[in-house]
Amino acid sequence: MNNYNFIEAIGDIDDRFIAEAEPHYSLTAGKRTCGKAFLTTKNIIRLALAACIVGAVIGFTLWVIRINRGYNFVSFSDNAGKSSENYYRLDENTDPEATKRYQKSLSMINNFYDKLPYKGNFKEAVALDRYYPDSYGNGESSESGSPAFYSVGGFSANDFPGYYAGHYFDAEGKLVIIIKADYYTDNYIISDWYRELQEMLESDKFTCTFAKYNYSELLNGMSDILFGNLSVELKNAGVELWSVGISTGENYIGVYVSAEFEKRVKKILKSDLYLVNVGEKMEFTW
Amino acid sequence: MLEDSEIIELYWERSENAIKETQNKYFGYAYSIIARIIANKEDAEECFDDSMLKLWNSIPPTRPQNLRLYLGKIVRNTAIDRLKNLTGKKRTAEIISLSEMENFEDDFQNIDKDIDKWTLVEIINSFLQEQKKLHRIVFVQKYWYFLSVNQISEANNISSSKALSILHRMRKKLKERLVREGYYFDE
Repeated sequence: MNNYNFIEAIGDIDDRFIAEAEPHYSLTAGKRTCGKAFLTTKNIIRLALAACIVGAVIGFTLWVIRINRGYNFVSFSDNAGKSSENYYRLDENTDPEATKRYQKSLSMINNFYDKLPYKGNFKEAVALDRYYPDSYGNGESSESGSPAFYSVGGFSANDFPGYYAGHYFDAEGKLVIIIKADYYTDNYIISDWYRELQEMLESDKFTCTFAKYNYSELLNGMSDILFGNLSVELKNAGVELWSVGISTGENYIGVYVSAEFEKRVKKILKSDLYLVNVGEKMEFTW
Repeated sequence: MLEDSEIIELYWERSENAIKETQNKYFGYAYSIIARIIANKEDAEECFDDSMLKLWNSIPPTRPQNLRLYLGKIVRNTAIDRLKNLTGKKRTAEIISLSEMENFEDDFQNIDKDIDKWTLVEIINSFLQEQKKLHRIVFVQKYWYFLSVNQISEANNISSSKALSILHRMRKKLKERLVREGYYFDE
């Protein structure tokens, strides 16, 4: 018995288990791109939607920090599109109305980013001191001796309102803004920050939920693990990280390591800001 | 787009439109399965064409109840065969090595080498039947559809660590089941 026999045996399991588990999306969109019949209006719309998804996925990917095996260097980029950090999945089953809502939500979050860096009344976020990366870290300000800090869409921890903890698009394409729990109340629609948020988003077509850490804290957490004290501790402990990235929806920084380093990393990353997972090395081919 | 039953009729009529209609309807579905197994585009496309030929040759006499699943199985088996072939030729850079299956192999290295494939299928079916729906879905998405842990976590709205934990427990339980059935030898 070897690996393939098992894989083949699983290939013949009962149809109902296969049907039940079928993912509700396809990794490759559409049908074969050849033949005149392909260029129908319906397919052009599908292609446009697929392009949106690919754009969003690429943006999301760029947002994830990639750390090479051996922890020799850290490479990452800004979030390529300010609207792409939480992407909404479109597929053949997507309700057209939901797609319209999603497009509206995208434009709202773009409005928000257009008004950054934030200069309003809720500017409580204080970024950590700028980090001076050594040979183990080279962020966007990566020249030797120049400061480095983690940023998204060109904005760093100081540039976001203190109440903002991220956003996502729900299954119906609606925008949900995550609010730091300290600010959140059930009747938030009468709060000052909500009014301000409406102005930034240029719409009231959004809802709010809450989470423990605001976005500035998440960004600071990223800076710390990449360029700050934690990066030094991790380096000294001789651990290798697969990848690090902010999970906005779940309000933590996901740190993926191989099983051999799990305990050591958990010992260093004690805060619940970080969630250490035994994961796979992420290989992006886009 | 034709209904599955109409497409199957085209196969029975030996109409070449059957292939065209199948491609129109299921290329995305089939190719996504292949692409998770074989990374090289040319190999993947050849694999798709081989699968279509197998489908053409098997209907008739078969009249599948569910064309989508039937095609999915053909495509998966063809891709795995091609993967074995490519691995044999050591074109490892051009394929997805199924390295994610490594844990699976490690966990089951002491399994009875003489176990019949269909006995194993029966045990796995019975095992899956007893599991919670989410656990079953995660297992099948990993080992049938070859989704990555991240894709599984997104598809099921669970964290990656939870998906990993479910997979770990499922492998453990399946091993225990095989031990109980007498097909696994503890060292």
